[in-house]
Amino acid sequence: MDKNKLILRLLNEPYFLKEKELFDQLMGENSVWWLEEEGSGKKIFLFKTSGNLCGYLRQKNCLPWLRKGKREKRRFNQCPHNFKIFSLPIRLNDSVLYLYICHFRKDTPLLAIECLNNSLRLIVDKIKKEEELKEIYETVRPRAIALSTVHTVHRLIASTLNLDELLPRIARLCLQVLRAKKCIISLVDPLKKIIIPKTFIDLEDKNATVKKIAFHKLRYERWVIRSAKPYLQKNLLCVPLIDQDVMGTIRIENRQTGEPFNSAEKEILTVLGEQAVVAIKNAQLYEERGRIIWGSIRSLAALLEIRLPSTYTHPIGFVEIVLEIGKELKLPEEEMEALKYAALLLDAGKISIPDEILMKPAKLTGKEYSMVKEHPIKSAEIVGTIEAMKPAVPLIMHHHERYDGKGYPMGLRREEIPLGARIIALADAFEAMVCKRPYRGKSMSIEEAVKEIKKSAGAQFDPRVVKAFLKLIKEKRIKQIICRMQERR
Amino acid sequence: MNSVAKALKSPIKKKIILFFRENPQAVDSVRGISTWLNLKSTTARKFLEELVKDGILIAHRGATTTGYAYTQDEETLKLIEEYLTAKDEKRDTD
Repeated sequence: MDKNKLILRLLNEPYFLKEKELFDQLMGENSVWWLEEEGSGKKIFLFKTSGNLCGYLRQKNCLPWLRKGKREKRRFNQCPHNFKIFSLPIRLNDSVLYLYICHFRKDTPLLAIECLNNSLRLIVDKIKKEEELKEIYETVRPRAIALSTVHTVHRLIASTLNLDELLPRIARLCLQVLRAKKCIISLVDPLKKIIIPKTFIDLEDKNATVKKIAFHKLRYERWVIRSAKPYLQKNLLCVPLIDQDVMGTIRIENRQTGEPFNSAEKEILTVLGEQAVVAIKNAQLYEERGRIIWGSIRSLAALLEIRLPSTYTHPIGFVEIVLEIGKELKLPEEEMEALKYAALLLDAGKISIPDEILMKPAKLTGKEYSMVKEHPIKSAEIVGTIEAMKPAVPLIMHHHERYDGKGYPMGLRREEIPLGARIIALADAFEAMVCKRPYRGKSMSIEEAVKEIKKSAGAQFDPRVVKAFLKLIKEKRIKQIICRMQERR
Repeated sequence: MNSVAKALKSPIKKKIILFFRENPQAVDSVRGISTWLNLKSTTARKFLEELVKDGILIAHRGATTTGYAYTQDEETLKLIEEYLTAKDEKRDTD
């Protein structure tokens, strides 16, 4: 705490002011209070005095008495002119300050002085403690807020495994924390050994895209990747994303205040970069895992295509239609994934049905139909053995249920049927209508099939799913998918 | 009256705005902000969301948490400064 702060605090401290008032009442007249720094003779009067007291003290030759008292470290000093001076030393950071109280009563009770001494010491100690706490608070609080920011940023970027969502999020958070205007995140393609800008956010240009970044503008990134060191320029800061090798860079430009970037900001961006590396790596691994699962499922589906007649498997367009309906109904990402897997393998159980039944051009007998009706359970059993396919099992199991409860295998109705299964049921029926089946001579036109689906809303199909489908079917790209499906047959 | 002037009339919103003005680099959750400003979480959440609607704060939404941060829109920032400076000047004159 410095001298000026102490003075300000003392003069605003009610207990200190009260002490002065009580002391003056006790002494019967105004006492004079001042502060003096050790080694400097300068007096800082705390309360208004009548006239120039310093001059008065000098005139009355009191000052030598004062100095003598200081030398002898005496708290009470009686000078020949009946002044009594009482001093209280206050230790500050790098100096000692003396609080002097001068009064004029001859018969000062020693006890009163002692009490005043104790009270003042307590008050000064209280002020010093408060100031220390304030200093600690002022030092710790910004750091705690910064730490909390780091923690929140970590939680935000760790909460997604989707790279397309993650990279813009990292960029926005970097801009936020460093109060900059532009951010480019680039990743190194390990196979092609080139730098690919993945995200570009410019707060002053809402249409900014990575496509707008010219190759030559990535020269800072190339330097950072080669050297694996951050690059700091007046209005530009670029840090490497280091895993085992440099996997990319984060570059920010133009501080909002217009001030240049400094080394503290370089450190902050480096910390953000370290967090980003973990999140990007996790997302890349998750994407890789997804690709492996998808590849395995495609292989399984291909095996089925070989084993089953093509009229009993679904073309890839079918999966596209299922996903389009799911997207229209705003299904969350994980349900969309389950939908994708289920749509590809929903008829895996048909592998257990004899070819004579599958290929039969006529209507099936009761026994044969019972065998066919078991295929959702069989499909669920086959698919359920793969851990990653578990979320798709209920969709496969119930894709032949009807909204009115007249479906199979369990006769579930309405919301009891998983939404994904209701979507697949509609798409499956639509595909069966527009594509050729052995038991039906001619396939329907799209318009006829749509009419049929409309008719079955609320009975066979969920009206919500029908509504989404009817909205989609008007779109040109959906019609193209259907045409591709029909051609494949 | 614009949204900034309206927001500054609410003591809690003003408290939040002053916090972010003092710490413009902060990105914090409801829990964090309610701790720094000694507010109940429910109160903090309500006012933070209102400030997001007012365009004074930005919400970075994740799956498990939302990080609230100060706007980077220069016009809004300018407006906030103008209102706060005007208030300070009025207080000094009074």
